[in-house]
Amino acid sequence: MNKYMINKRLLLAAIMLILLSNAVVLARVAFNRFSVQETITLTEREFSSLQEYAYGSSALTLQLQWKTPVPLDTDEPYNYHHSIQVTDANCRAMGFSKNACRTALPANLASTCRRETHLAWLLMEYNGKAYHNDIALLNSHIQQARADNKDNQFIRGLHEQLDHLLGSDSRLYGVALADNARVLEKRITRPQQEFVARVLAGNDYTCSGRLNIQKLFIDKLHVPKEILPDQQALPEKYTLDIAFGNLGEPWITGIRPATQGKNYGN
Amino acid sequence: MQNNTTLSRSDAQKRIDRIDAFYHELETLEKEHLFSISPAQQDAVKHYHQGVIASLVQQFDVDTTRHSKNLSLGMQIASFIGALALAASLFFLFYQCWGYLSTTLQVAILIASPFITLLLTVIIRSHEQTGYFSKLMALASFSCFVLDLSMLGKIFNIFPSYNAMAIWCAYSLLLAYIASIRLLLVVAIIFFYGFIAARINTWSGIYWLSMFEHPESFLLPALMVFFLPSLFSQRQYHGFDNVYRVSGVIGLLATFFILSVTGDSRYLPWPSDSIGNFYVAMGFVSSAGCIYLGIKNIWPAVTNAGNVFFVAFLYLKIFDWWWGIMPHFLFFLIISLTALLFMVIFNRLRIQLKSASAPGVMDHE
Repeated sequence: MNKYMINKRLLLAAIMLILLSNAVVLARVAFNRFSVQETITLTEREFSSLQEYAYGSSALTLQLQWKTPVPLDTDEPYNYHHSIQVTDANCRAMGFSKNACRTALPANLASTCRRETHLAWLLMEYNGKAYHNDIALLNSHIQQARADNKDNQFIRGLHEQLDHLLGSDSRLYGVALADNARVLEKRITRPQQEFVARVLAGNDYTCSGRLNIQKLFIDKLHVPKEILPDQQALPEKYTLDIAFGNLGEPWITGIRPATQGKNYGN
Repeated sequence: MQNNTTLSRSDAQKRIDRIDAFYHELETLEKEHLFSISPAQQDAVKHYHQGVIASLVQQFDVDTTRHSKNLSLGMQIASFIGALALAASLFFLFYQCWGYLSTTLQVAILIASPFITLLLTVIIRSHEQTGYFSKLMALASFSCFVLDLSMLGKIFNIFPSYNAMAIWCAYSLLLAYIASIRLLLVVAIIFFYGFIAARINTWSGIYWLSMFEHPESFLLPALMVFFLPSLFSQRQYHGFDNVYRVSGVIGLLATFFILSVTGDSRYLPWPSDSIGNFYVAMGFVSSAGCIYLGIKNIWPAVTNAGNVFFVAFLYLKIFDWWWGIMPHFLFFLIISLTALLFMVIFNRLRIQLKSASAPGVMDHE
């Protein structure tokens, strides 16, 4: 039987493709981690374990829990959609068309609201003004509920929400959106507790001027075996040290049980 | 003896089928006492055909009987299922084990696995004619490469990029041509669609993952894929030209269909109804064009794809026009009558195609 003749040029091209693509990826990683631009220390309240049971994964991935401030024009205790109010100028600067930014939309064209998504940058603050504002807002809801003689179950529910906010909910908030990172970096006043993250923002169906954060690009972090040798032995309470590199891509530099962390809970 | 250097596997199989048909027809003519050849001629022809068959089997490993054809089909199906299962197995194996490995070892395994499987693909392919076992290994190699880049992205928390689709497209294409595997060509075309659509969206200022919300970006790559075999001959690769054309037709007409239903366009500043009607018209014209090209160039797969979409567009419009304004029994009666009409049209097209692909019979009347 005649042998099938393999095209040697195609084979060489395939080998070069594997080599080059891996080289480019690893070079990118090396460039990103060449110098640390920012660091931040978070806790298990902000990054919790994500067990990928569906794939039977033996590695540990941590998932980010974060919030956006509760809108002032609503009675809701939570901002469920991770939405942030933006100005029309900011909206257009992020690449959204006229039909996607409410204030630029004439009333007779309101029904032509287009749903769009664009890359943007989000200023994140840890244990900052937005978190404490949410606590104050929830406290005022409780006082208002008592003054209005709402039923006990309702008030108990609000108290439970406050307990969660104080004890277990994430203290990491996304507070401002912009079309480029530098604008937001200028606003950072507490370098160890604020950072800028790349996100995917989209408007809602009503073009209300609020943009929903549809994806945060640092929402999952792989925990290397070098950081946590026993991937199944994550402490119940811990602090997590994260570094951001030249390209804004993060990596975990340390996990410490909570008793060892100086800044835990501060 | 015929020079086999310019033949493809498809040509070889057609020759074998013609020889088989010749003997069956000769037997029938002899039984009807219409035609016979002398024993000396019969021996000479048989001896000649045996030489041709032996040569073609040796070079292309074609099927010489219906039984072996059925077995080949069974092997193709088994090879496809085996390839998918092996790819899934490799994927889950890595997920199961990677938590126990250091980062260096993870990276080393990820980079080495596509190399090793590529090498195995080449070794197996150069020692077999059928290509079934090498198809299995080639798909495994492709899965390893996809796993390689996607897991590196996960390990080092790299932001996702549509450039990965271009790389996977290129690798799948290379494997398809190295081992002559149509399935990997289809995979390459799918990634090509995704990459070009993502690029077009990025140029338009839209994030690339939103490409499915803007189907118009799939029109250009569909046209490119359709016309590619007209520019670069695929004769040496069995069935590749069909894959390109049918993928192009499906990409183009499916996009028109979706746009005609949604009536949503990024580029046309018209009301939704007008956009829907425009794309329905484009769909009708394009599917009729595909039917015409398919008949003219004897591309049955393109003709069939054009037929399917023409009917789909027609039923879409019939539903739009009449579903709300007539009794349902009448609506379905009209559907069945149009189906009868299409059966008549397709029968005529079938007759035309048959006569176009068998000129010898017509010429000798």
